[in-house]
Amino acid sequence: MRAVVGRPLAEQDLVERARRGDVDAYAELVAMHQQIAFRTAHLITGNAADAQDAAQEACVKAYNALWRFRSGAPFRPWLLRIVANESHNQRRSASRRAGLARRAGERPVSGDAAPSPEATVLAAERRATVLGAVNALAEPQRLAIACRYLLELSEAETAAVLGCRLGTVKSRVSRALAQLRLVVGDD
Amino acid sequence: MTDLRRALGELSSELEHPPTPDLANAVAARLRAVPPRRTPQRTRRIALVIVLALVLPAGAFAAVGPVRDAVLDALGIAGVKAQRIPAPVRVPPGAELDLGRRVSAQRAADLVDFGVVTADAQLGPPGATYVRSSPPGGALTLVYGTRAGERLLLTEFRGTQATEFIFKGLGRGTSAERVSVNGEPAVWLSGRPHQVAFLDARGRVQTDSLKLAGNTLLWQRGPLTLRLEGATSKATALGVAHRVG
Repeated sequence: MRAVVGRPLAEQDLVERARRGDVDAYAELVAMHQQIAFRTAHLITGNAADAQDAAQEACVKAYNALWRFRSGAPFRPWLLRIVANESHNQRRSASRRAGLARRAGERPVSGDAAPSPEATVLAAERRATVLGAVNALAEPQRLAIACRYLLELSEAETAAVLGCRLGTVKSRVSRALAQLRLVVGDD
Repeated sequence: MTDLRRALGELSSELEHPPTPDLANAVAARLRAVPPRRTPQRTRRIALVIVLALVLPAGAFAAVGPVRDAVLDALGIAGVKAQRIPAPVRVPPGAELDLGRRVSAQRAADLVDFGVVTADAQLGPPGATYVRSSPPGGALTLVYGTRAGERLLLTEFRGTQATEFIFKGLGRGTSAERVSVNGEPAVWLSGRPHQVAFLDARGRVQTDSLKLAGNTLLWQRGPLTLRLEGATSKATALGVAHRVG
């Protein structure tokens, strides 16, 4: 792949060039979105090897499907939809799926005044409890919460990944939050 | 912001993500390894598709004799019903299969309720796109190749075991072979043209839709049932099907 030098071309330019068969342009486009594509695939497949296969296959299929990509539309949700489809296909053959996990020893960046050690431990325990509760949600709710809050996708992007309407995303997230509150409580 | 939402927001920055692989280079390498356009050898002449206008009543199919076919009995392709029938009747040449309304590719994606899949770049972009309103969710057909020459038809719809949409009637000259596409069930119908028709909501053959079809590959891809017509060899059909996405 040609290295990206200086300011990257606008996404739309890359899409148009890729449509005309410019593989370098498409590679730049993939590079822009590969992290979120891979993490979305990992969220669905539950393991890195399947996620890599699914994300790569999805990117190849997206290239071949560029002719039906709507000009001017955002590329990311469109790609994520294909990644999600491919990941679901991949997962069906996978035997084992791990839940989401926290990095050991990591603390979130916070603008608040430094909390006491006790408060830090309690907050970390609470996050661990919340994550456990997220992993225990039914799959549609788990994906909705993870897309919106853990991958920080927009509602539109979440709808693309889930293959549903915006209204469904809202209601699914709302139901999932209510269920999490039952399990972990809320202030 | 509630405590729960705050905790979720904080979790996003401390999740354990595996390192992101270099997809861009891997994808570029794969795309460069594939010829960008189809070659004449890649597609074959489509078998003649002929209209059989109101020749057989639907009941003719119900009266099929006790010819059993292990492959057809356990077809495993959602939305497709296939069975052995007496030899296909002679039919006059006529118009082509009713694929529905011709629409733009972008419009087609809005008219069906599933994610459209396409053949890969080796076939080039489809020359035409058609959409039918039945079965529920719609059926889409992509036509690859030229009207005068070689063509492949790729039809896709959301198949369910509960509602069959396509009927395949196979005479003695047509063979049915169980194959697989990307690990999912598939059936390759080849030999003499077989009868194909749409089924109505009650599972009855719509006689005005009855046609003859050439070699056809039917397979599942997740919730979709796919049908590729026009490849004269199994290898060609499977090659295209494996790359559909």
